[in-house]
Amino acid sequence: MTTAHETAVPGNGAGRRPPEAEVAVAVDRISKVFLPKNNVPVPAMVDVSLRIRRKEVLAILGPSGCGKSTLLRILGGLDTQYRGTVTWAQARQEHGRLNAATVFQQDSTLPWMTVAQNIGLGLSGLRLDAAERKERIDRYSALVGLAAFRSAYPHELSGGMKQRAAIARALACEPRVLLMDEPLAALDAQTRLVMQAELQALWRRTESTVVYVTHDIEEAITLADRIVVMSARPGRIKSERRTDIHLDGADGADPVALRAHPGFAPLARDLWADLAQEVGDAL
Amino acid sequence: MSSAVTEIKTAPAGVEPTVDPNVVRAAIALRRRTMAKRIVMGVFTPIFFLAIWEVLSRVGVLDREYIPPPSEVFRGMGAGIKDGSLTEAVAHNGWISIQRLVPGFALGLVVGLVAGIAMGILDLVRFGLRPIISATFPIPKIAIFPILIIIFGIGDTSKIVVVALAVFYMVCINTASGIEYSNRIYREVATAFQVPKRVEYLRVIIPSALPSIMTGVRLGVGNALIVLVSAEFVSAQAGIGYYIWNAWQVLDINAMFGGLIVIALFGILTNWCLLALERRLIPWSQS
Repeated sequence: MTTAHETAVPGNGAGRRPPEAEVAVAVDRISKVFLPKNNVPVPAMVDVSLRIRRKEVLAILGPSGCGKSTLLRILGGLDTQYRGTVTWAQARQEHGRLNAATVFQQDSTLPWMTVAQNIGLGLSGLRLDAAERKERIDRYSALVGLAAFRSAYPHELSGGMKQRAAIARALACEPRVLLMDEPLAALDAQTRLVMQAELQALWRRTESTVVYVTHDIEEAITLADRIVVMSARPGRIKSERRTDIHLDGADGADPVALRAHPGFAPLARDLWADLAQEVGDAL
Repeated sequence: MSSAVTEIKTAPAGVEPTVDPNVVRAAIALRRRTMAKRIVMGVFTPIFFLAIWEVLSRVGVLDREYIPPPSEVFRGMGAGIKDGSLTEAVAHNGWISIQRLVPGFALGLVVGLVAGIAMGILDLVRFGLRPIISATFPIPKIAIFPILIIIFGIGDTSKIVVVALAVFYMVCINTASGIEYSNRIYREVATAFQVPKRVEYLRVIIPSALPSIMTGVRLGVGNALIVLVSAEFVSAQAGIGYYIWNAWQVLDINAMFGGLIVIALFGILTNWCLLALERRLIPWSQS
């Protein structure tokens, strides 16, 4: 799937280098058109280009229908009908790693599988040997705090625990880029705050590169190193900001206390100024 | 602290909250009453209808010769059980029917599962088979029975095939739609994690359709009984359908009801077994 897009990069030889050092994946001039039943095409995204750098957390903010989830689906290999190129730093799939692993917004655990089996399913494309597979399942279920629930079924878990299992499944593939599509949106407000701190600590520990789609300005500031705002349909990149206001990744870091940071409110205001007009246009 | 906070009350620490035993007792009593109502209604409703039947038959609204009151039917059946004539006849014919039912059901189940899974997974198979299935599904299977007799003869084979047909449609349709309409997210997970196709089919797609498949199996059992008894009515020298039909022709009312009760019991028993199997196979659909 990914190799098809890589051929579009000119001058690729054996020693393939990413177009820019430390870039994990490059998205170049991606356009996407939906064709609804009435055959009137709807442009969802126009000429979106992005560089996702190693170990950064990139948040994508945007109004509903701006194509932010579509962009994530393209990166995750779930949508293959688009124009433009996606170039991964590593050409071939490295042993034991996926280029991208997705955490979905809705509950995506398979109810007929235990937590361990759910994580194992994510690993099934990696051809790990049994010992390595078991080690990964143990390590990542422990990392998200589900060590004691490895043989529990999703219907025995709370919403937050199910989402943690889905996060463990994605992390266990040790993806070059971790794709998160509003992973906390379906959780209640308090669980969401706890999970924000947990995610930050997890990424720090696993040195993850993350693309994080959200509609929540505060969540974007709390979690991201860089925040991209997308315009209303058809989606374009409207603004891009670096930020160094985020949780320090220590256990017990407090996302509510972070809001007292002097830079927090101005940044939130700027982001909202970018977004407000787009949200109005999207209505 | 913010000035908006005027008073702060903190719960006393270290005090175990106690549960009022009266509240617990009341909650348990309420649950018991609900259960009791359910059982009473489940038991008394059939008794109520039997009582109406009894009265109508005794008063003469129902022809007593053809439809005797239930008390008389039960007495007659009791006598038949005591001297063994009824039990022996029912067991003999029931066993013969089961020997047609089980292979027919197994055949229909296997072919239905294979066709249903293929239709659910492969678009081309679905486009090809769906028009045929939709066109032939509404035909009563017993209406095809004469053709089956021509093809397979008047022996057991034609009856096994007609049972298989009845099961096939229920299992095939429910399996295919179970796969087609199962939550999309499961297949997206398989794609997103580059899960090998074989694993995707066996561990993702088929389990996601299990609730629907089990519904098809239960409907299939019901249809199998209907079709088998009908087939035995028109063309059999033994079997529970033949037994009921024969009892009607010689006006042996007790035998007739005996046969009916056996079919009803068999239906209850299989349904109960399948529900138990379902609870084991699909524990997640209970909550």
